[in-house]
Amino acid sequence: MFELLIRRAAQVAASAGLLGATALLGQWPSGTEPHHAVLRLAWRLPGERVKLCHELSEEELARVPIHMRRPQECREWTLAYSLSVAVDGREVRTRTLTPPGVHRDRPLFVHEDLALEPGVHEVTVRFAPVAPAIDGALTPAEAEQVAAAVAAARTDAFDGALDFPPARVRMLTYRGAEPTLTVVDSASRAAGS
Amino acid sequence: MISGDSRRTAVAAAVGRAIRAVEAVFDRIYGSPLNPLYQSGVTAVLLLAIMTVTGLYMFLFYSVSQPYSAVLTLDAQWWGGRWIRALHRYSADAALLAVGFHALKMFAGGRSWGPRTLAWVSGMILTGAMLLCGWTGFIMVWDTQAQLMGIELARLLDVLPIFSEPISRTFAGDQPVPSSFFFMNLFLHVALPLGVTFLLWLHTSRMARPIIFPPRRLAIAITALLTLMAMAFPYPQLPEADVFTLPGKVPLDLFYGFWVPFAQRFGPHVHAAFWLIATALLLAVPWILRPRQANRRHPSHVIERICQGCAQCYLDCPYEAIQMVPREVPSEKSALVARVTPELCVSCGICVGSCAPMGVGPPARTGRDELAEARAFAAAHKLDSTTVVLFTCSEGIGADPALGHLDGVMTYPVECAGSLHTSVIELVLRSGAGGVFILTCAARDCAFREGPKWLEQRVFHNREAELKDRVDRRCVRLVMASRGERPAARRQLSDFVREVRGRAGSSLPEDVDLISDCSTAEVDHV
Ligand code: SF4
Ligand code: SF4
Repeated sequence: MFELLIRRAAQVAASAGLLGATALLGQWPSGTEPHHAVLRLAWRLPGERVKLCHELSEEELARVPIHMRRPQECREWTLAYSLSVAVDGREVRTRTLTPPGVHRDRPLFVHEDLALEPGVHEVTVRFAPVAPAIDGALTPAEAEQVAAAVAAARTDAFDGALDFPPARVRMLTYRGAEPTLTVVDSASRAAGS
Repeated sequence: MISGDSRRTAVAAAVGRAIRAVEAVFDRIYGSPLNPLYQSGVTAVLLLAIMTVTGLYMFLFYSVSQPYSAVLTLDAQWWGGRWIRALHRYSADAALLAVGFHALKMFAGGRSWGPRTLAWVSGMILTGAMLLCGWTGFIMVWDTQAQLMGIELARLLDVLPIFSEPISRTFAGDQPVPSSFFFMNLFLHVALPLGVTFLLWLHTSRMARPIIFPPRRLAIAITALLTLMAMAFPYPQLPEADVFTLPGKVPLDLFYGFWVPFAQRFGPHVHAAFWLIATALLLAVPWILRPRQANRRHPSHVIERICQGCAQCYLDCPYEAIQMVPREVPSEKSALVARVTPELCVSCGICVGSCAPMGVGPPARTGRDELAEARAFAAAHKLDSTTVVLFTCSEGIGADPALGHLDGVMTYPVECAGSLHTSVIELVLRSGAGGVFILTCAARDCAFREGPKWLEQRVFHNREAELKDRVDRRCVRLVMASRGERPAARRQLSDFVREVRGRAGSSLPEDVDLISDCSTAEVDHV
């Protein structure tokens, strides 16, 4: 009888121990309180295209099979962009972003997280198109066309002092139809602005 | 010089020793029939069933457009949703624990290669599917833990050069996480268990009579305990995920998220390398652990001229390695004859005990070989009416000095008690022994699944090849005990020795030729 009691008690204790261990491992305190803040750059930009076309001459057309003849021949590029970020006057990131995809024609995206000391920082961001590397010589008219396309493409810059509370992310992004980079954080997101 | 085989065996043996030590503790507490460690595989299936039922309930309240509020609503149901969600989580954790233990046990017992390769590989894929299912489950909740796991998993996926836009951008915050993401996640969480069901079927497809659930008492106990715990300690609701807040101290489920701190520290490429190497190693275990050809046990074979086509071995084989096929050389005995598929045979020898005419078994381990060995044993030992021959299974307690040194006990180790032909028991008694004590593994811990079950039926319930009626059953004792139950086994053995001594020996009728008596066929005598 006594032995049975001991055994039952051991069973209860062992089961409780096992379950307790399972529960503990299922919610193990992990991680540490972050002492830094993050400047996030996140946006998406549909490709800015450059297209160079020229009319085919009679001789050029004659060299093409009849069913493939078109009056114009075009070459097209999606612009790459250069991104540079400086914090308190010190350059912290410079990158050239090429459009993804097999044909390099997918929208560009930016997604950078930069860890910063909490506090106010002077942030400078430059996001500008880069002229495509084109094989072969361009006629003066074509060179002008490319330069015009690059000049017309979207360019962005941000200059300003931002306050970074600890463990918080402040993001620079395009918001809605706004044409410039704006700051978004959880407060502005919650306010729906 | 240590060979590759012995190095591998040494690793498995070390793991095996650790497992046996833990099992022994559990045996003392729960007793082998209710020891959950002997039921790890089926316990995992029971837990999957609990997850399915609780998951169906939670599905009714889930919303892909407002995942976090949906979970809050569920948690507000103190009478239902709260503990059902906790039960779902506890079951998921316990299932992974059970699966991990099950895999370790198979690894340590050398049950991962050869005919068991399919079971091992499908088991590993099953584990992967469970992990995936678990991760999608955590993300569904969309709390801070989900954020941690989701971001690291997205970074891991981004290592694959197949996405034109990184998945991690989903959590950048420039756009709200779309409902389509939670819909996809929910779809995976529901679809993966269907895959798990198929994999479970595959996992057990090479077993005859697979057992799916634990015994009723254990199943009720596990379900009740987990439910009680879920009611008493529901999982706390964590804050909602906020991609603009860096997660600080977050309670992490180590069963499913053990890799998160590692991934955070070393980055997605090292993290991806970890999963790649771990997966490759685990999937390669059957080939890494496989002994050299010369060291492998040979599969069973049938001596067709002895086989009477009774199909008993076909019925008993725990691995469906025997088929009944038409004879190539016609015989009056039967139209069909047994045939072993060597690729499926694990060389357990259980068919040896099935065959009355002793026509099947691994080379040198047929019933005839067993009888020859038993004769040699009887000749070498002085057996008298006070002697008890202890047949002990090497896979279980084995030749334990604490048992073998009991006065009047002579130990006779056998590879698997289930392969012991009943004629051997009779021969030992005919040779003068007063009793036979057979010590098998615990019924649910047989390395070959069904050894103790079939042996018990052959000895006491007239299953072919049965122990003949003329053998006094008082002289035979069969005890199923795990290693942790040594003291109880020892007690039963001493009681039996006393009983045997108290009897004036058993009388068996006239001399019988055990081989021809077992068979109606004309056979060669050994
Ligand atoms: S048990 Fe023996 S006799 Fe019966 S089918 Fe199998 S090999 Fe043949
Ligand atoms: S030894 Fe016999 S019982 Fe065991 S797997 Fe092979 S054929 Fe089946």
